[in-house]
Amino acid sequence: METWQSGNKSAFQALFRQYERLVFKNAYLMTGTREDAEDVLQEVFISVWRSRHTFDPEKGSLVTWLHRITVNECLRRRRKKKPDPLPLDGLDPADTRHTSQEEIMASQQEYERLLRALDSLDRKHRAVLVLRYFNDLSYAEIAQAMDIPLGTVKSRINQTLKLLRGRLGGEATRRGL
Amino acid sequence: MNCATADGLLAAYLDGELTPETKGQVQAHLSTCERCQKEIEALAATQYELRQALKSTADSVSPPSQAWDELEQLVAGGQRPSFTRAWALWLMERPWRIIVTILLIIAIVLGILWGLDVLSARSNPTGQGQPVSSGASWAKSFEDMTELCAASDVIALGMVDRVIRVTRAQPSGHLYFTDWAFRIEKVLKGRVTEEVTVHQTGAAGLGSEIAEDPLFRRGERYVLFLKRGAQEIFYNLGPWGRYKVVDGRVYSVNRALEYRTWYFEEKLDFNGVAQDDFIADVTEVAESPRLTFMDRTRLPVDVFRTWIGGTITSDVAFWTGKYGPGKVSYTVKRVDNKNGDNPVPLPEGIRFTITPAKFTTADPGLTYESRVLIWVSPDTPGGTYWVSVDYEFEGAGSGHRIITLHVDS
Repeated sequence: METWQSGNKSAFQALFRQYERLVFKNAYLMTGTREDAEDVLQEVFISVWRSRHTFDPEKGSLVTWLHRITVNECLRRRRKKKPDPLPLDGLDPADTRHTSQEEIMASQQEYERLLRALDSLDRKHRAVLVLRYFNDLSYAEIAQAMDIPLGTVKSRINQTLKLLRGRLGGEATRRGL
Repeated sequence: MNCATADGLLAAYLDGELTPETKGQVQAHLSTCERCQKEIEALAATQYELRQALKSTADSVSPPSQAWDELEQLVAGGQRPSFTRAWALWLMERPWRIIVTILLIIAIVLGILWGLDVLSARSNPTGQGQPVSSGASWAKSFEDMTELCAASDVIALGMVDRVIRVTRAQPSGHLYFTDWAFRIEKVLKGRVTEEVTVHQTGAAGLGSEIAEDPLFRRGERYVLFLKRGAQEIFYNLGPWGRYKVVDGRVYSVNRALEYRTWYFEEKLDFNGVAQDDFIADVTEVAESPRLTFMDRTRLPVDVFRTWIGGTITSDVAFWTGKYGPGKVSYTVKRVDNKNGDNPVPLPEGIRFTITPAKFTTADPGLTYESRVLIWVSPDTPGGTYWVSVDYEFEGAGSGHRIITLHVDS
């Protein structure tokens, strides 16, 4: 048993310091608001503290356990408020190359559209994308973290990516990597 | 395998999550189906952009600095009282708190009605009010001054002079923008007139304001790092794009505005640096020639990801700094690590072309863009490659930029 599991506060603080950014960033990406992410961060570590005796490193990694609690907490919370839209007024989209001003604005708009499209997803779909494309978790790890079958992970990622692309207007051109 | 079956497996194929047998079946189908090829290219592009967007968004946030203190109290106290119970106890402690709470509720309701335009017309847009903070997802954070300078079209010292206009994002929306007149005292990079318009989210007295990048105030002096928008309207590069100057000293947002700007903890943290030193350093960085690869948002990027058989297109910008006119030529070579220590042959299956690879610059202070095409043949082994793009600039010496290329198998 790890020191923090036996109730050592200093060890728990060290654990918190080590993982607070990971949990907070994931919570922010899954919920879309800072306010929710702050609440989730607190709730996750309260859960970790209260359930410290139940964690068994032989059954799975600590990170996967943290992901699982984070996802559960994010899905449990009702969406409090949608983030404010990003500024778009006065921007003139353009499609010509090497016309810097218009292209800058058009590219920014595309990026912002992606963030908005992401925001339009419900949290369980958003969570699966965050676990895969931000944390680089394998499908099996995602299945473990979200407590869903592997086949569901596979179909949900495929479906959500297509949905996202559809909301972006079905752009098939690969550019600007 | 038919299209319907393949279509359901494309993301897993790209993510390397199929069994060798199924992967072979999908590959065989892709080699004969143009529609599914286009579909997988589009999905790969979406995956790539999604990774970039998630990373940039995550880079822009950090947990609040007091998070542990609050948590410690909660875990130290054992079971927490419920919120409702804690609130009730707090109210009962002092009777006047009940009255104040009722008044606050009335004020909040009135505020909501006011926000919904149910009540009277807006107040004077230039008036000072209590801002309502909102979050912001910055397109990118900046690691150091070099990266910040590269992303800026204009860097200038000046003073916030006045409000030019306040606009509303949507007719019935609650998001406002303020265009400020910024009077230039010294230009550190770029070409601008003596006064520029700087666009900022939020409006004094009207509610919305970005907490991490609060509204300017008249008379404040800043060194601003600006991106040029349409119609000569400039945008500062988020909280990283503003450095307040007070009594000849320079302060980053976290120091100047007393807001919890956690992201300055490790980078671009200036707390009372002498103005002349700051300007000299920024100028030196800004005047040096520099290569920058750009992502879709036209912001710097050094890591590219594709898959075997995939193609990447990008732009690379050459900033001439204080040099020119002169001739620039690019050469591309593979190196064995991200520090560019040793050249090694690029696999035959990877083609890396820059067009144009040679050009002539005019006056100093200009940016020239070339198109980059990276093609990875289907028989190239997956893995991570580092590619150095070297430039030779007549009269200004040479330099290079190293990018990381991940080829997923």
